[in-house]
Amino acid sequence: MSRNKTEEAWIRELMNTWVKAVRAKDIEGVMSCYVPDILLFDLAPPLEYRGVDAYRKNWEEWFSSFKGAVGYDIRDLRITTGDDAAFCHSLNRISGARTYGEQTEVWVRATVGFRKFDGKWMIAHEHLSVPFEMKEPYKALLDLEP
Amino acid sequence: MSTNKANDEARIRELMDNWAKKFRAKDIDGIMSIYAPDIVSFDAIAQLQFKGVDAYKKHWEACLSFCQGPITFETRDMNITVGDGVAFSHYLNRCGGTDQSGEEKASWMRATVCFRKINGEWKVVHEHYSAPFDMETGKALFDLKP
Repeated sequence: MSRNKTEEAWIRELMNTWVKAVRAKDIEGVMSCYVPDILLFDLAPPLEYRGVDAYRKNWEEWFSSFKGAVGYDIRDLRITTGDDAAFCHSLNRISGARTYGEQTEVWVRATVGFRKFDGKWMIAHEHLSVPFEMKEPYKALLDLEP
Repeated sequence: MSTNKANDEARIRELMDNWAKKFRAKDIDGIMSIYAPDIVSFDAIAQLQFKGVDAYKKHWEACLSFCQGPITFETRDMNITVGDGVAFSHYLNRCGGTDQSGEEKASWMRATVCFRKINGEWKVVHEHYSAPFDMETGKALFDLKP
């Protein structure tokens, strides 16, 4: 939407800041992108997380499960903006060596909702997932590629 | 919240309530009526994404064919953020069908639905449904409760 190009550019910059912080395991950098009352749906249980404190703990555990840097790439990012609400969706590739001895290579779906908070765009909602196979034993599909 | 935004929120809530009724009635045209032609959907099963209403309709038909008996679809905690012509919502939903012995098979899932106002009408341009999965067994989790 060209009439909101500037807003879209701000959101794109926010997502760049976020992904750089994720790759660097920079917990403060990641958390600085979120509104205090964020509600998110993550890959692993529970069904939902409410609030930055619960989510911070989750990020800390996730970062510590990687031996080195986290590989994180965003593709097919599509952003839709209004005056003070916006959303985007993308396919994200997560990769890296885990401390429990496995190598993670997975594509996940990401939907992010934004609110403008004191004139600044912030992430108010995240939904990350992989689809599952519609037959027993209902395995998560971790080897799909775009 | 401005009156306009309150009105828009009420219209979106009504749209989603009506849609739930159409889903429960297995009314494929009713289900499809809320989607924009260029919808990108991240559904809970099978594929990373479905692009465009034609591909998504085929997927919906396949989904409905899995459900021989009555459909369970109830929503809770629906939160809607409205901007100028743009909105997103998230909620939990208990979704499922009835197996051959007549037993209900339903589980709690997560939903994010994103809207744009197109020619004065709110349309779904993106939606994301998912279940979390167990990181150890790799299986989707159907026994989680809000």
